[in-house]
Amino acid sequence: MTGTREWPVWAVWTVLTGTSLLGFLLAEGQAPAKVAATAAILLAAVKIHLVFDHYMELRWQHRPLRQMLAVWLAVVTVILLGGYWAA
Amino acid sequence: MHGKAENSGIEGARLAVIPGDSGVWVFIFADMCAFAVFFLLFSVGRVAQPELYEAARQQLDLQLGLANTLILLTSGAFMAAAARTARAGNVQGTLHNLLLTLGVGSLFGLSKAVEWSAKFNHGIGLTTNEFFTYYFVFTGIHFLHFVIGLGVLLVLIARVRDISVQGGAMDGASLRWIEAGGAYWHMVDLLWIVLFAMLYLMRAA
Repeated sequence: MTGTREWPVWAVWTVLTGTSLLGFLLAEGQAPAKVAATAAILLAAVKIHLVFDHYMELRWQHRPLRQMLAVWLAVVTVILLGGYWAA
Repeated sequence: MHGKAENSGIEGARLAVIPGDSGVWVFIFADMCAFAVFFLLFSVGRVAQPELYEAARQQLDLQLGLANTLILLTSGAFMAAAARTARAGNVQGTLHNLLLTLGVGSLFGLSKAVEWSAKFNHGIGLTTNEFFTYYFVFTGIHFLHFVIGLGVLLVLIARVRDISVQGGAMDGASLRWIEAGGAYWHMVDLLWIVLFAMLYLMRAA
């Protein structure tokens, strides 16, 4: 997780918006398809991690719940990346 | 030393706390697991028919997909701000942030209506092909969650408005409602983040 310090909401929003725009620009741009798609999935994982920590406020609360959500995120990331690279 | 020990105690207590209500988190996790199965089905389908999935993906409107993402992230930011103002005991600030969460979030419904109607106008529907079956089913189920979320927000706004009208203070039960409602609303955010990457952004080589 990203530590116990509470980020300002606008800072979290800025990072989430920036990573969303980056994923979009990579998908729309001239980057190689595999690089763009892999980056889009990894950026989505980063965004979800930030939502868990700072929007859902789980960064320092209830370790078992955090671990369950971290496992969910890892499984979903593997499903999407595995499906993409296997195709 | 005394301050440090006291802080450790508070920190320890916070580590055991679930924001909102544990029942809501059970529901949220079960729902997220159901969506993980959807993502698995989509990935398996994509492996079997990569050309069809890529051709169908190119018919999606990436700009609208990005707009949907930014709308939900912005609405989520106001929801997070509402939880913080509620915890600080600021009733007016909480009401203001909840209204902004609802106002900005409602734009998602408008955007989805525009996107789906454009697809239908182009003759694309649930039975067009496997990709679009998944597209409409997954985004439709997600939309249902969004509509439920709007209902939750209306309940929260009514509750906080009552406190405001009566000139009361934010109580523990109301704070738990706001945290639980917020957790649900953020689940709607994060499921869309995955759907956006999976359906719109995964460009095939």
